[in-house]
Amino acid sequence: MNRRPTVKAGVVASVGALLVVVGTTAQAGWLFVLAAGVLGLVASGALSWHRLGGATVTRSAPARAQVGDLVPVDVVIRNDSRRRLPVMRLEDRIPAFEDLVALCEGIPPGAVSTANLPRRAVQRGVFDAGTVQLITAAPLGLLRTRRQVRVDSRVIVHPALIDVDGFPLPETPALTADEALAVARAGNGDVFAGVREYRPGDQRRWIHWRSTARTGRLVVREHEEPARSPVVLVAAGVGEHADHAASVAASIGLLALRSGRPLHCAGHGRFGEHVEDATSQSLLDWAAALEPSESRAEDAVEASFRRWGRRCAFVFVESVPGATRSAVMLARRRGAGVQVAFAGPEEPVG
Amino acid sequence: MIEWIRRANAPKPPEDSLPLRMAVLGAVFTGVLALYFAEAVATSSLTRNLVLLWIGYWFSYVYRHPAPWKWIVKIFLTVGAVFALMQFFQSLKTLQTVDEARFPLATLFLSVQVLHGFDLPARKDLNFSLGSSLALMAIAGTLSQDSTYGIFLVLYFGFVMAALTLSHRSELATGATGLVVPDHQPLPTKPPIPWGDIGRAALPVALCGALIFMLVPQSIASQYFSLPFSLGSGLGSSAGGGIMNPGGDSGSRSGGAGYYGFDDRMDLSVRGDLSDDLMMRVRSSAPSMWKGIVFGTYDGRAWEGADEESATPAGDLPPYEYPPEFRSLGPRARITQTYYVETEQPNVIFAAGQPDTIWYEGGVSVDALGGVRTPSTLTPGTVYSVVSTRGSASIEELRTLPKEDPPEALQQYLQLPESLPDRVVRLARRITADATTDVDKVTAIENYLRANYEYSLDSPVPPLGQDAVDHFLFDADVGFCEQFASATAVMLRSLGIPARVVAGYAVGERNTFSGYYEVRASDAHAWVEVWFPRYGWYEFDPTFAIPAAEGGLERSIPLIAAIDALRRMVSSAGPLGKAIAGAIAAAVLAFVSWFAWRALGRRSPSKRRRRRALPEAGPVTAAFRRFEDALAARGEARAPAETAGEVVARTARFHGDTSRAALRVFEIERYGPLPPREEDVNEAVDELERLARVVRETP
Repeated sequence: MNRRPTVKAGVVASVGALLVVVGTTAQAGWLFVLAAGVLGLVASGALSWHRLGGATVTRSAPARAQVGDLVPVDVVIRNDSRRRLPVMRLEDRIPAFEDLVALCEGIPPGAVSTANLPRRAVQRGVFDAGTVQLITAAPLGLLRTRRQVRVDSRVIVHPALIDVDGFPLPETPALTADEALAVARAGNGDVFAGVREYRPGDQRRWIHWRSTARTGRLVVREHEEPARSPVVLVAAGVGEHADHAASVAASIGLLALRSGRPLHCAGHGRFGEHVEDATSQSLLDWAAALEPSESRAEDAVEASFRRWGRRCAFVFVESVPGATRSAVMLARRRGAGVQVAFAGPEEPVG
Repeated sequence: MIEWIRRANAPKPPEDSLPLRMAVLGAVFTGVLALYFAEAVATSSLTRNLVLLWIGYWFSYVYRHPAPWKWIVKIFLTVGAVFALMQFFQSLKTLQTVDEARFPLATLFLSVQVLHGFDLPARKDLNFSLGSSLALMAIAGTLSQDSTYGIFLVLYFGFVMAALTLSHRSELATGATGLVVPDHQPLPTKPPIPWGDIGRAALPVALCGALIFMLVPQSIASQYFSLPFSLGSGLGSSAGGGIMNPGGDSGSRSGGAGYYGFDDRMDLSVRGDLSDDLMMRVRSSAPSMWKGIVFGTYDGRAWEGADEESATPAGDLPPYEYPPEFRSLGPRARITQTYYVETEQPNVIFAAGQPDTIWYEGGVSVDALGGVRTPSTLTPGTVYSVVSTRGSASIEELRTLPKEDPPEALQQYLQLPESLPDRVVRLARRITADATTDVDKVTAIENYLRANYEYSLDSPVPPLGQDAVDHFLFDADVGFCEQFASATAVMLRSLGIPARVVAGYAVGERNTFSGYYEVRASDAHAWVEVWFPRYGWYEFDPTFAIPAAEGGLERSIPLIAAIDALRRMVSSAGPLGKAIAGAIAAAVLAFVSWFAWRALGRRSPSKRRRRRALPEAGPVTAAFRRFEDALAARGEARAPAETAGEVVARTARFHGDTSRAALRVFEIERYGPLPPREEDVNEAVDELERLARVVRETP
């Protein structure tokens, strides 16, 4: 809680003191009365000791929103004190939304005021809390009290989507029969192909426990390669244009999903490095949480091959031209289909 | 600094609040009306300015948004301001005193206020206008002498509080996108006027203002560069060398408003009443008797003043200096006074004690006894000022003065009529038999008269042929100020102490707010001056007390004066009065203590305990209570002084000390500034429920 006299109070007090001096010099008794009244304004301001600590503030917002959406956000102030809360200025600042500034009328003890003004989501990201500031200098504007509270309310704001309909999704050719025998067919296809012995590099979740128990050796499942190669969305080198990169990545990801392609996402974010078998929501959540990072795109490629097999098709989203060049070359050397989407200040370039 | 100036002068958003504009206009109107009632503004000027102010405020509101043609208005206003300033400087040339500058200053401030009224687009401009309205009120305050100004003051502060409240709301609402009201209230269609807030602010402002008024020292400066004086409505009737008393009426003590004693002769046989008409207002740095006429010769029936022909001019131009031959020496206290004549007065300059410097426009002369006269009577509206001194030596200091024969010039103040009966002299000697010094003799006579004689305006008239003082002392035993003063002076003269009777006005009633002493016809008074070697003339009053020449804090701090008056009132009251006063004092003290307690946000310990015991509506707290109940059912109830942490630690055998997280959530919910997270609450409730179950089920 921060309390301090306003500039206006200083001016009024100075004028009051000046009137005392003038009253003394001019022998004018009424000036002492006038001065006392003026100083009385300031003194009564000091007596109006606002107890904003009695206000309990909560915020309720939709769990998810998209940049540009107008969403209902409720800020609720409950007066838990025994005294009336004065008229206040309510400032709700959470980076997800436009700031809310409202004039809040006095709240009687035990009453609740709700600021339910629709607000536009302006910032992609995952937000856990924001600050709510209550300011008042009631009634005369001479002693200002300011209380700032942290109000928790988790909001995931998805990036704005852009038109990427013409973006060519890459395709990785299917394995030849010989190649299929040479590699672990740990594909993501839905069709169960059989089991085989464990090889180094296989993931633990592929282990077929019943066969392992029966044989006493580690046995893993094999699935058919999917009919269409999965798209791996790699956001790397996004730098300062992370928001635009997230928009581009989310839009391309949705395009891939609409095209019926399995989708995996790779990139540093609040929800981890990878999202496997992304759905629309998990894709948008991943894009919302995407953060600039120092991790190399090549590492993402290697990890993708390890996790999702050889038949990945990569879409690299970069906002610094050439930032993913070595990763692109690596993927191409492995025979993967590759597309690079530039997410600088301009429109994405395929 | 430049950035600050730029920011301060940056265009501000237009102020849309019409109530705020009305409140500011109300304050300005009140200021203008106060000036009018203080006679600083003529009726024609008042009407013109009120209309212009109204038009200006309307114009400012309608055209509050920025417009390209606004510069024309600004040029018009600038030219107007320059013109008003030129007029102000022009009017300064005709002024005689600095004091008179208040009138052109009022006109200038009013002009500026009117001009500024046309350019009030933003809240900042309205605030400025509100502030400058204070200048109008201040000037009116310096000119107001009666309580009428108080009405404007109350009205003005009403508007000021409304304007400040509305201005603050406007400030809070700057940039706001909406209005939030308590959930059960409907959203107003237009911004509400916060009557409740204004009303709630009024009482603390009034209380604080009253307290500050009582505490702020109201010391009046006693040094001036220039004191006010003016003839008001012009010269009165010519006095022709003597004293012309417009209220005098031969054969009667009172001629309507006037007192017959302000004449060349004061006849002790005259009786009658005095009216309560206001004679004059006196602005003075200290209370005093306002002396006008000095009487030197007593003929057994009346006192005679100085000869008509004896008055000599005191100078050519004001300020006039009092002749040195009449001046007293020794320790003196300076008093500065300004007299505002309300009813026509005799051609006499009243002054506290001995006038040193006189500011009067029509010329003054000093008679043979030191009285100051003017050529003609003083008409209503006349203003004059006097800087004077009064002897400030204490009784102890006067006792130490050596006994000296009075000089030749003072022999006239030992004059007594040959017909004065010896019994008067014998009485004087008898009364002062134990007194060794002159001052003790004066005090003894004063005390004797106060103790043995009654005061009455209807005292018997002395029969023809009998000495008036002898009749008062031995036959009537009743008299008023003239008899008391005459008896004192005559007895002192009979003891060889120079003494004289002087006439004038008593202090009058001081208006607490305006600070002026309001002197009425009934305050007309006569008292005594006694001469002391080396120190000169000192005032004594056997009828009433004369204000001390030098005062204490009670003269400047109203609270001390009020307490002092209260103390005197209580000390003179009977046992019942004292008991009532004690009860009232106790009640006031209790109220002040209660108010201070509330203001400081403290509560009594019992209330504090009760508040702490109030259960907070929280699911974790409720679950913890159920856990406590389960413990109580086992005979392991929580002790009053036991903390929740101690309870959890004591019962670790039930939960293996795994309930620390739940305890933490309980503490956050109970004592934390913010409620705990919902998921933490759920986990804590589950854990505490489980714990309660374990406690109940464990054998």
